Amino acid sequence: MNNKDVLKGEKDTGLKKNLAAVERFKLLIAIVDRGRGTKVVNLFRSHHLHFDFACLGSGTASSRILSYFGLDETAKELVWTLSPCRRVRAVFQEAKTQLKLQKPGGGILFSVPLSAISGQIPPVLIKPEYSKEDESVDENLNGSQKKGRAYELILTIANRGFTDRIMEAARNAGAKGGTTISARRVGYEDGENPFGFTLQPEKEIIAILIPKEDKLPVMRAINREAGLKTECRGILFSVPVDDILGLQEEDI
Amino acid sequence: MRKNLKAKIMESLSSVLPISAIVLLLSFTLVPQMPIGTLMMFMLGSILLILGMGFFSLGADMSMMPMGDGIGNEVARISGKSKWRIIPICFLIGAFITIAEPDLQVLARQVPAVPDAVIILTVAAGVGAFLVISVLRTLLSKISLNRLLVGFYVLVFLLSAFVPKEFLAVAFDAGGVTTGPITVPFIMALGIGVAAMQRNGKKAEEDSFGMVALCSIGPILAVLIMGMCLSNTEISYTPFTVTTVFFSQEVGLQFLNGFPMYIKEVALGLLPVIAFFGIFQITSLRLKKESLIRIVIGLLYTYIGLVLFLTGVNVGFMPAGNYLGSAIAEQGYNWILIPIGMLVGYFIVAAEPAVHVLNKQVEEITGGAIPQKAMQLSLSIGVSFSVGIAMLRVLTGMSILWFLIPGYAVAIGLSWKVPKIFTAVAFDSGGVASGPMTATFLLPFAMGACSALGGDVLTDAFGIVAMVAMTPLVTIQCLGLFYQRKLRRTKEVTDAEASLMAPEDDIIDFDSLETANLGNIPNSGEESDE
Repeated sequence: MNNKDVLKGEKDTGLKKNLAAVERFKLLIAIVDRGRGTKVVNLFRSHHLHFDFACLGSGTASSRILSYFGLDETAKELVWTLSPCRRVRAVFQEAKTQLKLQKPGGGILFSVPLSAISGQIPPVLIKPEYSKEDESVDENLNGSQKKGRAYELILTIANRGFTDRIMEAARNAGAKGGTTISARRVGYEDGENPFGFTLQPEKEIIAILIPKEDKLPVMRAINREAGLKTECRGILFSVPVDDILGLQEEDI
Repeated sequence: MRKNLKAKIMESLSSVLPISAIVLLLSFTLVPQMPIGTLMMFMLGSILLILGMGFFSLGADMSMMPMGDGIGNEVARISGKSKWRIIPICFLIGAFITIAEPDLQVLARQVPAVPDAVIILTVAAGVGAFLVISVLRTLLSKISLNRLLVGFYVLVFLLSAFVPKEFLAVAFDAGGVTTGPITVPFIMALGIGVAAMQRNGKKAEEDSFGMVALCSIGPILAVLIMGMCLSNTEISYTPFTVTTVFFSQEVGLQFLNGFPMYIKEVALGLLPVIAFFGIFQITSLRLKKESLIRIVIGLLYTYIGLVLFLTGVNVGFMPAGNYLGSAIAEQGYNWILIPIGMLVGYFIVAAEPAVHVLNKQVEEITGGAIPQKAMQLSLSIGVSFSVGIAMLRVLTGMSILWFLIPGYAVAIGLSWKVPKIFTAVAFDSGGVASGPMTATFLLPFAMGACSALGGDVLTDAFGIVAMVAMTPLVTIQCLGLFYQRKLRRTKEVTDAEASLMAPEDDIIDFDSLETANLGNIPNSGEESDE
């Protein structure tokens, strides 16, 4: 009896502290053509998703020949934001029409489940005045559950200049396209030199969205052609993806 | 594929069409007596410009940038092994790409009293020495760019007091040769390549720019020193002459005569870049086959693009600019030169090929924090002002020093106020904005106006290049001020929100929550996964 009360009390204060704390969060990532990032940000903001960050990337070529002629690389923009789960579906609904993601090559929006976040985020993103909108939207959308295939996100971090080789391997195993982001390795120890700076090898992150069933063949192919044992020094892993929008089965 | 091609075509259309439309409009309204031959050459030149710009910007991305970047990386790597070996390497790179610059050959020929080889070698040595200085600055990262720039500018002004006036003009024009459409992307990429090898990401961003700015001081100082040595020689400097009126049957012939010349010149200009890249590729860089094929095709694009662009601009734009200038100046209400000049200036900077390379690199390096559009706007406003002032000078004959000295003073003053990257970008953009379009359209425009009004072409008209190179220093840094203010004002979190979050600065672990109170979670979309 006593025990139960204590438990109940704990739970109550926990709930009182902030109802939002129990709400799960997702990471939303939009990949759109350079210059359309502000549209995505506006959409996110209209849903009270304030923590948005952008970085630049570029779409990979869809064939080797086109890549040689410099014709198939498009400048992309990645916009990241955190969103409470129940708002995700409303954002996706609106993204469909506002961002024209249905059109081939119009862009991609997907969400990644999170396992934990800073406790300082929910008070900003979840407020009583927002929750009304959430609920009304929720009712409308309760019926339309996830449809289509399940996707995963493969991330490969490799030395600069090997994107073509990695994409070639991935395409041969069934991938359609990807996005690259420039990066730099930090804390590389043995580069100290007389000028007192450290040489930092430039890296590239290649993100490929792939149907779950194609994940293993593609990852195996990349590992074979561009894994750690090769000069690409590719490190690869995959991340689960929940909702996805804008990925045409035939064309990206 | 279609999308990317479309984007490139749109980019080159939108950079050339506005200026073409303005000239066309002027030829129907203000100067209806414009010779049909000149107008036809201008239109044909515009088409060549659009094509050339498209090829060039595609090619520069694919070849010049990776080549410069790769060499920059290697230079930084070599410096890691032995400190002093990079000095001769950088010197040679700087000297050879300068020797091959077609503009330098032209400049040398314009000063008959001094042997061509002397001028060419002097300027080349100047660029080489300053490339060494700027690479060392990036690697040592001890001296800030604005201090270095102030020091060298003061030196330039001090030396200029001891040098004959004619040498002064030659010296400042020599500064412009390092800002050609081949050297700018290459030196810029080299700078980015060297800076990218640093540990500190923030510093790498700041140090990525500024190399073009430093390298264009080199030739000025070198020619000034040469002038001091030769101060008893009488020199005559004849900048250049403009061929004016053509008849329609000559139009095609003019272009046909132009092509072989630029086919040769551009090949010569690209040669040292390719040669240095070849040496690095064989000895240490060893790019993969895929990257090499892209670079070769990109070089081909760059070559085609530059030949088309330079032919179009030199043959098609120069006579039109000259005619427009003189025809408008002859009108009774010649004050209209000022607003027209400002309008032309606003749109013409978009047609400078190297401007796109700079804007794109700035966006890329800053991760989109300084977007291309902001750069474009600041440059347009800057050049618009500079052409307006240049026209005012043509009309009134005011000394250029009234504008240059305050301009540089403001630019240098601002460099202590704005974030460092804006200073570096601003000083680079000064050279970038005063490229081939300025030389072949704005300058003849000013010369035409000046000679129609009976002014001194050498002192009144030529200042336009110096003005175009100065105003972006101010406007880009003003962009920096604006950016800094906006950054300070935006608050990620309001005070009310901050007070709300104070008691629970912990981490919310969803996994443990799930086990603690299953069923209380409003949305349970993804538990079904496991």
